[in-house]
Amino acid sequence: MTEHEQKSSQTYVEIIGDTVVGKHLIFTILISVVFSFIGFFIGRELIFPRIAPEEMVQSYSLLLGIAGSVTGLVINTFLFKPKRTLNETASTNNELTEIYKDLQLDMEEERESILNDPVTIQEMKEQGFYEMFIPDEGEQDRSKEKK
Amino acid sequence: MDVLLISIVLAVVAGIIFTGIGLISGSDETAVLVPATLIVVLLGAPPEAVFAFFMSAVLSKHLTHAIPTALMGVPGDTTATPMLDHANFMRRIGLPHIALRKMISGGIIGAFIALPVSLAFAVFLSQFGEFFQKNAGIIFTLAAVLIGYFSKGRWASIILIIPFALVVQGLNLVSTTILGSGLSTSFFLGIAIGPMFTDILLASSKSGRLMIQRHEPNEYKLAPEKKSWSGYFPNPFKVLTKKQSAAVGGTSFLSSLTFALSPVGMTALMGEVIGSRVKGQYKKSTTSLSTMNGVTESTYIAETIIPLVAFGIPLSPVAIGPAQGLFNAPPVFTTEPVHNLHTLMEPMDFLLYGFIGIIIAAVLAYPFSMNFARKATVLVLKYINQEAIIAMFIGIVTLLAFYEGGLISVAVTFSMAMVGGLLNRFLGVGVGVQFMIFYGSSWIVATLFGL
Repeated sequence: MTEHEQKSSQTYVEIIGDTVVGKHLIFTILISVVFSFIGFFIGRELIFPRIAPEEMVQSYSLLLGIAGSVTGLVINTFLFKPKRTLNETASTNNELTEIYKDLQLDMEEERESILNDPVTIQEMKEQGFYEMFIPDEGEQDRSKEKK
Repeated sequence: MDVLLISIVLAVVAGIIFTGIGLISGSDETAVLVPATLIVVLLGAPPEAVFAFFMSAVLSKHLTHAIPTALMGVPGDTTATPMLDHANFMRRIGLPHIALRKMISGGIIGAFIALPVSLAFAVFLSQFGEFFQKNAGIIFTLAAVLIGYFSKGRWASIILIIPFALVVQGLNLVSTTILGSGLSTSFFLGIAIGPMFTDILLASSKSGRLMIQRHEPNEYKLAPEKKSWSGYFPNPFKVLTKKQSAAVGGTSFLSSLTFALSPVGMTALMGEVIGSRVKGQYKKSTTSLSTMNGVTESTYIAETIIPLVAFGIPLSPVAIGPAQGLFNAPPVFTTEPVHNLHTLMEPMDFLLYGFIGIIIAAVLAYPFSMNFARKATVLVLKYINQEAIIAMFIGIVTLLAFYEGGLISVAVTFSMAMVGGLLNRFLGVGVGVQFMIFYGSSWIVATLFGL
């Protein structure tokens, strides 16, 4: 499938805040669980009973299992491409308002809490994302008109 | 002089290794720290050096476990699970690197407060320790009410305390009947993966899928980074606001006085108590995150030092878990009779070698995570697909649950995830409330129904 086709025909689901393709997800979960357990069982049954003291076999096997999960992560990373697009600019105020709405949070209350706190204002300005939360006057008026 | 040199070398080794291990999410502290400590003990390191090694390992692992927690939304280890909610919020608004800086700055302050405080109170505190131990159930239950009231769920959270406690105890009864002993890790793993599991369930249900279906991939905005410090080494007090530093200081101080409560429980409790008093989500999340990471540090250190210095027998969740090797590493250290760091070291030694451990870890892990936070974020977002992250999370959780008690533990974890996740998603019963109910559940059920 070309990238263009993929874009027009594909639907996504959003899992903890990021978009994924259902089929890919099922596949990656299988890989991850299988590799984790392969690591764990190989450690517990084959390797560590021979070389490690008895009380440590479980712990070492768990470590090998986690190594399996990490291997799964590496394989899955190569198998599928991320579906997100990365944009290295701060969100605009409207986008942030959308996100807040999605999360059932109150943007007005957020603005008020920031405006009442000079320390936070300064921190946000220093870090360069103050405008993301507090729009300049003109924009604020327009968004009010919309409502 | 020799001992000092060995301690420094071992602390450096621990700092480097555990800075790396912290990056791997889900790495269980007990599983990693116990073998590592045992190896050092069995290799014949002097007790002082073992202690410096352990302190350095704990601190550097905790500082870097904030990285997967903040950047990918996958808990760095079990103590990071209560932080997921706030971390996910910060990720969603494009400021995960800010979350990360706040967390590790809180962590480092917490560690430096905890060492002297917990040591100074070690002997003196046993009386209060008993009080907390005896009343832990009621403390957690009251906390659940308080946190529930200030959460999005408000009255639903409070109404559901008893039913939720009953569900927890019911599941625990099933697993106890099968295994002969209760489970704990499986429960809080379940609570932690609840929100994710709910999304997966929705995706797999024909009627639920519409809620989370999207026609375009998400666009991720990542706010540009400005370094707020000059040089390589940042000042944690400048990364946090004065109020946040005070919150971290206060909660770290308080949690250094407790040693019988679970670190995960303390972390959730302190974070919610502080967070509920802050208005505005940005401030709430950054303040809670810095506080929580400070508390994970301080409870860890306190729960190691207090039983070790005061009693010499492992009397806290950390002491019977990750810190086991300091109490009991036969044939070198034993608890019956007590022949371990407790008998081999003076309180001043604990202070000196403890500081060697945490200073070295601070020098290695802190600037590393602070300076590379955003670069790491970009790498993750560009190259690692969300499917792989979710899959790794599920893989590790399944494995850890299985490790605790076999298939039944896995089933308990996912049952817990189902209940907790749906309540969280549809009624706003937060993860913090659920943790508190979990810790209070045996007391609630015993008191009300006489189990």
